[in-house]
Amino acid sequence: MKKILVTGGCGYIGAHTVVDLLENGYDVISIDDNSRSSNYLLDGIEQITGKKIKNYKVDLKNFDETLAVFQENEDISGIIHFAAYKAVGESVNEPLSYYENNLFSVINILKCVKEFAIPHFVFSSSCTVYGNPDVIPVTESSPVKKAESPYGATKQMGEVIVEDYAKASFCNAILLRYFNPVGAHPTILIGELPLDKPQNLVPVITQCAIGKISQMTIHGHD
Amino acid sequence: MINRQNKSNCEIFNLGSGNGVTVLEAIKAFEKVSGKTLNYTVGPRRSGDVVAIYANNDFAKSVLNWEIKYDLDDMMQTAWDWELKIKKEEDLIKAQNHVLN
Repeated sequence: MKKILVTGGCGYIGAHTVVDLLENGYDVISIDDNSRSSNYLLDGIEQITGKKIKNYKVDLKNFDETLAVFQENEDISGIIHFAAYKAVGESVNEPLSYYENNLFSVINILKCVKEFAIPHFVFSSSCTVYGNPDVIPVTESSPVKKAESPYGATKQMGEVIVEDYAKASFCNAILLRYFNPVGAHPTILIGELPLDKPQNLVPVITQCAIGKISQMTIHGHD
Repeated sequence: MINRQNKSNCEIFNLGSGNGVTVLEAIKAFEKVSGKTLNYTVGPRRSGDVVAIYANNDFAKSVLNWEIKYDLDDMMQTAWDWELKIKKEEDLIKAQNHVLN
């Protein structure tokens, strides 16, 4: 059974991917320091699949602790790297924490990919890498314009780092640019679970409807 | 993970529905599936936000056989069901704490 390391496996997209990997016969481990998540979705993963996965509560900014996970799991055959800070508005106010977290984490994990010659690496990117595009819809070859936020900039830089590493190695890399994922798993056992004030549209909508937020603001009239 | 001839060993895929949805359209879809009316105001644009973007997803469809399984209404429905589930569990915990105290 092939073992896949998912970073951010306790998060929204990560947990959905873990379910899909388990249902397709992969062995899965996760690294998630729960700085933006909790173990709540791990329970949901177990309820859906009947399988318990091991999550290493490790901060990917810490290289030695990250390396230790690889030393304990020498049979990792591929990595899907979801873990990152992802709130656009917050990144405008806290740029250094975004650059530090989102870039150190990808560099550290790629150093481990190199050390253990792991042949497959998937990077979670974002439609924010396109900046404000001149033409929509955008294709993968549309120009990467100046990012509108530090968050978007971390994804642009992350892409470059992964691409340059792939060129210099035999690692097959894939950059996935997500366009605002929304909704919950059809079982309703895992979904988007913001720990603090929600920053994305759909959790704002649902929290407003249920009364956790008294009023929501649409930012811009178009 | 994917094997094709003559490909680069770093490939990029857009993963998006291929349809642009405005914030207002998302709100209307939510109100329709949930039967709830949302209390919202319109304010100034937020720093850092992109004005408008949506994906051409032809590459992911052709290479990865990626397909869209859910439409906007489905996604709003599951998001709403999820919020209701969390609320129910929070209420249950509150009730249990009340009994214990």
